[in-house]
Amino acid sequence: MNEREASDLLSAYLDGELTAAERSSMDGHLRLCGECRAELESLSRVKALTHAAPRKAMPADMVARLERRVRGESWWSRLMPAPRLRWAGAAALAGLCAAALWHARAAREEETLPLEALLAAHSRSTAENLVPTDLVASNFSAQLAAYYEAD
Amino acid sequence: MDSSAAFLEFVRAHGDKAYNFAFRLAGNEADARDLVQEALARAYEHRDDYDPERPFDSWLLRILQNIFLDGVRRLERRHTVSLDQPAPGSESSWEELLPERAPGPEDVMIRRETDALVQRALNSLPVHYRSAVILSDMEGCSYERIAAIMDCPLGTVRSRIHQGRALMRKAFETFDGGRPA
Repeated sequence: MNEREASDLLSAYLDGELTAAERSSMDGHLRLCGECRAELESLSRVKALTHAAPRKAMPADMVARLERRVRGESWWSRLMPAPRLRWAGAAALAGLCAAALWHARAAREEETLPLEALLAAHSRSTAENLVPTDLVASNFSAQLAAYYEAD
Repeated sequence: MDSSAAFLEFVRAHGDKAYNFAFRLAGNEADARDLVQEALARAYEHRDDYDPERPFDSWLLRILQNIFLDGVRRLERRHTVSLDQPAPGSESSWEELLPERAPGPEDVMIRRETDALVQRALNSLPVHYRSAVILSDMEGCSYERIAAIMDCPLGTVRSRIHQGRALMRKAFETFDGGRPA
């Protein structure tokens, strides 16, 4: 192994990333070469200083925001941050929904025509001839009148 | 455990590593936040593509590095550092910042100095050398894992780490007042 080859492999040697054959060859070279030993020591200090820089931790607010995003809890959790508030809010919302449903059903019932009463009124009107057939414009009434006249 | 719960577990386990990598690559908190959020969003979006046989952190760091490389011109403009002039007002030699030579009561100040000096040196490196040095000397990744993250052959990893350390040494000497290593 010549000087240039050895120099290029110094970092990998320092990191324990050489093959067994390369390491053996490098060991032999380092025993004879003071320049490469000094370079190895210098690279080791560079590595140590870089490693000594403090690690940066992910800010807590980033983690919380990501959790909300992934779980899809954004607006509700932000509105009701405490679990007890969340339950109370859910109960209130359920009550509102029930009231709205009841109101809609009642309104629909008011709009519904009473079919049996209408049929009874129609039968009575026809039987007692309360409405003169010549005053009714619909063809259906004319048919009814013809039917009764035939009787 | 559903996929979103599993994903959050991975983030809790590896989020700090991703953030440290992003911060050291970008050199500031705002860009690091953007990088990590974008990387996590892409990882979550493509979580079905993740191969559970391989390390999640390598996959995440690879996504993060690719995003950084995509935007590197924009980011590099903010962090152009000259190696021509030494930093003014430096009190101690960069070699004195090494942990074993640092006395206890000055730990906080020395950590701050080390943090600033290392970041400044990293900022001065071309991005591929910077990535290699961060992954090797800060994250302690093996060359094989670095090759997977950087998507390059092992020989290239060796070369980038070696050249990167030589550039870091030059930067330490320059920013530290020109003292030789």
